[in-house]
Amino acid sequence: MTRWRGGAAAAVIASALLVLSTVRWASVRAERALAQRVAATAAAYLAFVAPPARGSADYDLPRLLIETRALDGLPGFTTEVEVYHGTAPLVHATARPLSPSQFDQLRRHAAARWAGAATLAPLFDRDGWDVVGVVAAWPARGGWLSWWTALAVLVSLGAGALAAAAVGGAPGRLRRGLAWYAAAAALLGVVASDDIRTTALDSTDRWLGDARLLIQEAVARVPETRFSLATLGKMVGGAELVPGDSAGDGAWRRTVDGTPRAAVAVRLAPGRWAELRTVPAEAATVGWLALTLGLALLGPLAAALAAWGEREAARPQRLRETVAAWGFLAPSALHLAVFSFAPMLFALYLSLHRWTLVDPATPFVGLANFVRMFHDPLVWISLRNTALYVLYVPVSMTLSLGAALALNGRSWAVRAVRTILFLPYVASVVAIALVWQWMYNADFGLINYVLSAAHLRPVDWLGTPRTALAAVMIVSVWAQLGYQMTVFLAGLQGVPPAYLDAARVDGASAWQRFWRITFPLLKPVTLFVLVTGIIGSFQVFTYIYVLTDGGPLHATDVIVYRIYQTAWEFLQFGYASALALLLFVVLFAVTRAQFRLLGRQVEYA
Amino acid sequence: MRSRRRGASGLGLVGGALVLPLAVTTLVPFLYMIATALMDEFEVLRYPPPLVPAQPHPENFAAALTALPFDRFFLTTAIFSVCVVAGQVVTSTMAAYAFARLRFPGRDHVFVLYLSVLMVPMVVLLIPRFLIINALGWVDTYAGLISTELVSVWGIFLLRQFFVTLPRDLEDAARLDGAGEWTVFWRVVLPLSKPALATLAVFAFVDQWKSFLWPLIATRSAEMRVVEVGIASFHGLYYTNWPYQMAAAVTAVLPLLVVYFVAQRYFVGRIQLTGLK
Repeated sequence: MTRWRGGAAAAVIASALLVLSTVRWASVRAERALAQRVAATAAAYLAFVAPPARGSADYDLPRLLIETRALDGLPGFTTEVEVYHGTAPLVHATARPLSPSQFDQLRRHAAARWAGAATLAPLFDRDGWDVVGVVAAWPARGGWLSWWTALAVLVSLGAGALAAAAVGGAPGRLRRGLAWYAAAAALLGVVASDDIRTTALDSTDRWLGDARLLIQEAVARVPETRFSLATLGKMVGGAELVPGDSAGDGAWRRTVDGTPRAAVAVRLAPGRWAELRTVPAEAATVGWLALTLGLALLGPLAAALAAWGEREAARPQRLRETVAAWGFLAPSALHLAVFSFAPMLFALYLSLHRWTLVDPATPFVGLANFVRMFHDPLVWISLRNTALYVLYVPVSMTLSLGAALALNGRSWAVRAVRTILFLPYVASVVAIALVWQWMYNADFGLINYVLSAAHLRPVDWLGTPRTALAAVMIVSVWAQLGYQMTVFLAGLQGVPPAYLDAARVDGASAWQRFWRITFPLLKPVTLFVLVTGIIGSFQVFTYIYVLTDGGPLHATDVIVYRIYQTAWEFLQFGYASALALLLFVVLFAVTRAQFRLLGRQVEYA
Repeated sequence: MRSRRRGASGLGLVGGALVLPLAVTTLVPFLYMIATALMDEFEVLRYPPPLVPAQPHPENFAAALTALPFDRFFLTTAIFSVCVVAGQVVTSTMAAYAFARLRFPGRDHVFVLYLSVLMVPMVVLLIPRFLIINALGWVDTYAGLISTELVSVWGIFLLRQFFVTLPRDLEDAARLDGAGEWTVFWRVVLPLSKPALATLAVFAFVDQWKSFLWPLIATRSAEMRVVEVGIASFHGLYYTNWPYQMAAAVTAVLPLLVVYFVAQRYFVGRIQLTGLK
């Protein structure tokens, strides 16, 4: 019993520590990102204000020295910086010089990098061509744990201790203890993620403040730039500088064109203001909530498991089997959690957001994606095309059932034909699409040649909106036939020959034997082929992608092709997710309807 | 006597009339693919279309396969398919064994939870999965290409159905001799299920070799393209050169055909595994 209690207590502490280290990790990340941005901005500022040396793209060294010293003493500037010209420190002349290898690396990569506790940003010459120096910035060490989080940790640890002590005790006490602990842990997760959010918010604000100081300083030193926001805007990478009104000292949040922005007012001249806007870092911290909450809830989960293990220890065989079973399940369970169940929830989340990959901000848009779907004519066209396309399934099923009946034998000829019919299943899908495209060719294709030999009018199969979808359906029938036939053949093995013989003796015709005996017995197989065939055909993509690209005039634009294009060509992942969920709902309804209509007499349905 | 009545005559008249056109229709695209692959680039643009090359041009294959790094495509596809097949076989057998043979609380609920994944169309998972591997920096790497495919719920389901049909006596005897669950699984159950594992492996291999959409979005560079995506982009580059395209297509079809003829008996096996008898 002590073993289980000890384990539960250890899990309680471990989960609290995991949450705390996540908060620490997130705040270190935010501070480092801030330092990197400030260093880059400071480097751009120096390139802006320091005049060039005569006859060179490099800076006039004394002036650069003055500017960097001024930068260090700039009132209100919150980040500690050091500037190196070459490898020589300028701000604190007695500081250690930069190592030549570090400077070399910066020159080669020309991008900010980390060295120990400092971030190094390259200082370009006036032409923006060569790296002549380095701006180093040290992340400010802020307090990273709010009082609220500290309190939540204590509460959570206390509740966890009570729950661990209740392991092996009365069931009522245990249940209450676990419930309180779970509540406390959830609170800890939420409070901790709020800490992360606050840190991100602070770092955005501090960058805005520092960048504003630098811009204002630059305008003061190079007054003729005050009218050129574009020139000034080059100083602040990843942000935009637009004309604005004066609006106080602090940074504020607002929504611009549907995306949240953090902004600050910059004073360029008396009565002349600009607004510096950037993506608020806290907008992308929702994922952290899931992480801290999950880690915090590990504790209650482990405590519950310990309690269960303590109870089951009395029955060692059962405990052993359970532990073994979860050992066997662990790889697949973990994989499904990460790559199937989490993505399902993520898909729901995405469908309610705008998510473009280009813009780091992913604002919540409510049901806008779904509303848009109903007003998007292409969606309706693609749904209609998909519904039409699915109709190939009954055709190929009829043909394949016929083939299965004819080929239900053992002679070599029968086996050879079966082998041939199965070939398309083991052929590369794209290769099949290519050869059919060649055969469908309007001018030189085999099919039109056969048609004209039979004195029929040639058809531009894939180029005419009226025939394109039918052409793709013909390919699909051709490709699916052999597989479906094989499934039907397997089903025919289950039809007892005695039934058929008895019917034959009673004088039933071949048609009657099929219709009254074989077909009813094949019903489960038929349902299987139908359901899997329709599920597969709703998700057709490769044939469309290779044969028609959804054209001509969207005549073969099916729903998965629409989703593909929306996501990977237009980069609208939120909207594409909403479309995928639509497909899910439609497919679910269709599958259910099939079981309802056809599955009544099938025992396992 | 019965076998003689039931189809020893091979194809009946009606059956033959139905099936032979189907067989011919199935074969024609393959034969035409090979014929075109051997034709001259301008020979195919004649009317009436030639059905056999006037003079075979096997050099089309060399030209087409060096126009894009096809050797690299095949290598990537082989690595991708083999890793995924190995992963699916391992995870499927382990999970299927737990569901078929071990008793633990909530087993049936967990099994239903697993099966629920089959209800979700692939494309719903595709977008989040892409964003996940993108966040991990795995786009255009083997890690990204392979990791999402390592578990097949369908495979777990098939193997579970198979394990249930195995006699329990052997396992119980091993347990009486003091074997642990792992020993029973490794020494008793796995050797008995070789045919089922082979069937699963063969089908997983064909599925992965044919998979198109996931490799299309999970990779970008030519080195990471699989054959299917490779010949699709070849199609875009050599849009009018049909002999080259058909040569590439023939090469893409060949490996799977070899697998099919070598492992033919396992292809029918899966369908019997589904429990549809």
